[in-house]
Amino acid sequence: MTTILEAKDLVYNYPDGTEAIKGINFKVNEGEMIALLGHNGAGKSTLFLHFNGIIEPTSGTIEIEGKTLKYDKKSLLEARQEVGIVFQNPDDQLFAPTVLEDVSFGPMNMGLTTEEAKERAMDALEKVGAADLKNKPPHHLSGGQKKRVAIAGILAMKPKVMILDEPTSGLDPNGASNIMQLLYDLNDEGMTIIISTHDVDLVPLYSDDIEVIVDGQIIKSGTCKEVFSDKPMIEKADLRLPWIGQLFEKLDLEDGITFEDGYPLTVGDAYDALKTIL
Amino acid sequence: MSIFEDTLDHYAANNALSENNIYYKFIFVVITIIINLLSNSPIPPFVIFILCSTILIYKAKVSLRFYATFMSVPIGFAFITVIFMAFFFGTGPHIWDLGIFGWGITADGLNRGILIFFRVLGGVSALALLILTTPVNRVFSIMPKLHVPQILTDLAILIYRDIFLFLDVTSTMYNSQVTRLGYKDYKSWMNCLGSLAGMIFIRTLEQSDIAYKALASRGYNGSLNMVGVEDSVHNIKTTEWILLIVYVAIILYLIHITGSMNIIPV
Repeated sequence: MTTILEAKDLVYNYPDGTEAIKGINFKVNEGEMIALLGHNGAGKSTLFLHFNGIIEPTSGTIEIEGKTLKYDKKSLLEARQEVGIVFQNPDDQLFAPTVLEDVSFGPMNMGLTTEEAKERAMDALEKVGAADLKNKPPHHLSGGQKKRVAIAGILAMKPKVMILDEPTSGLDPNGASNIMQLLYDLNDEGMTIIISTHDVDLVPLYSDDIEVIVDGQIIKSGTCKEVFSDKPMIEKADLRLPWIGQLFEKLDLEDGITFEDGYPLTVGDAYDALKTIL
Repeated sequence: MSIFEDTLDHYAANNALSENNIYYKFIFVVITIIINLLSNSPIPPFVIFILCSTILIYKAKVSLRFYATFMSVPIGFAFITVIFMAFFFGTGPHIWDLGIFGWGITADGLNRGILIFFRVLGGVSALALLILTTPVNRVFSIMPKLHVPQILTDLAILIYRDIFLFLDVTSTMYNSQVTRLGYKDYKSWMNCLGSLAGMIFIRTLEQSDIAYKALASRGYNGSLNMVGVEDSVHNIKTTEWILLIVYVAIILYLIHITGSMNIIPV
C-alpha cells in the first residue's frame, strides 16, 4: 500500500502564540478509511486545514503522494485537487445561487470546459442522490440536503483523498446513516477517506482505524478494540466507551460475564457475542 | 420549512416561466413599457395590465395573493396621484366642488390622473412579469455577457448568498433574545438591537474568513468560475419573434384607434 498523505512533525501555533498542533505524525495509505476521534477543540479541524495547504504549519511538513507540499500558488491548487475537504457547516461552503453552479465551482477551477464541469457536477449530484435539487438555491435546502450538496461539491473534483469534518453532525438518524452509507460506497470505489468526529457511538461504525487526538497531539492509534480497551487513555482524551461497550463493561465488572475479544462496540458485534452465550 | 418560503426570491425561482429565455422576457418587457408610455388613452395600458397579470397568474402560476401584495404598493401610490391630479392639475370648469378653498375636481385633471394610474398599472405589471419570473442566478449568468466587470458579478453572487445566511442568523438571534425577555421596554429594545447588530457584524467577519477557506479548498484563485445557465438571444424561436411582433402590432393599433379617448367626457 502506498502512502497518500503524510504529516511529519507538524506544529502549528495560532497568531497569538497558543499551540494548536503540537508535533503530529500522521500517515494515511491509499484506500483507507480513517476516523480521527477527539473532543471539541482538540485540534481536529485545524489539523485538517493543513492537509490541503489552507493553513501553513509553523514547522513540519505535509507530504501528498510522497511530494512535500509547497506553499506557492500552483502547488496549492494541485494539492487542493488531490485532497478535498468537506466543511462541518455546509453553509460555510455553499455560496452560489443554485446547487448546480455551486457543485461546478471546483471542476471549473480545475480548468475543465463548461461541458465537462457540468457533467462532473451532475455525476457527483447523482452519486449523493441530490440530482433533483440542481436548480434550487442553497437557502431552500434542509440540513441533510445541504450536507449532500457540500459533499458533491468536493466529489465533483474527483480528489484522491476526501476529508470530512464531522460529516453526520446535526443530521437526523436516517440522514446520518445515509451519509455514512455513501462514504462506505465511495471508500469501496477506492477513495481514501478521513473523518473527524467526537461521537464515540458512531466511531466504531465509521472505521476500524482510529486516531485519538487530544490537545493537538495524537495520543493513540489503532483499531476500535485497541483504542477502547485502553481505559486510562480514554479518560485522558475526555471520551467514554460507546453505550454498547458500557453495557458489556457493566456485565463484566458486576456479573463477571466476559467475552473473548474484549467488549463488543457495535450492535452487530454485541448480537453475535450474546448469541454465543445464550 | 424555511423562513424563506414566502419571498420574492422563492416565487421567482419556482414558477412555470423561470426556465424561459431571459432575453425574450427582457425584450418583451422593455417594448411593453415603451409602448405603454406612448399611449394617450388609459385603455391600452389597461389591456397591457390585464395581459401581463393573466400571463403571471395563469401561465407562470404565481400565487394571486403574492401578486396582489406585490402590486398593492405601486397601486397605492398611483391612487394618491389620481387624487392630486384630479384636484390640482386640470384646467376648465369644476365637475365637483369640495366646498373649501375653492378646490374641486376638473374633468381634464381626472382624465390625466386616470391615464397615469393605468400607465403605472401597465408598466409595473410588465416589470413584475420580468421580476417575478426571473431567478437571480439567471441575472448573474447574463451579467458577463453584458460586459459587467467580473469583480462586480462575483461580489453580487457572494452578497446574494450571504443576505440569506445572515437573515437566518439574525432571526435565530432575535428569537433567542426574545426568549430571554429581550425588547421588553424601550431601554432593553435599544440594548438588544445594538448587541444584535454588533454580533451580526462580528459574525460576518468570521463568516468571511471561513468562507474564504472553503472556497480556497476548492481551488479558488480570484474569480468565481461556475457553470452558468446558457441563455442566448439566438435561442429565441422564430415563432416567438412572430408572436412578439403580432403583439406589438396589435397594441400599437389599439393605441391608434383609441387615440386620446378619455373615460370622463370633457
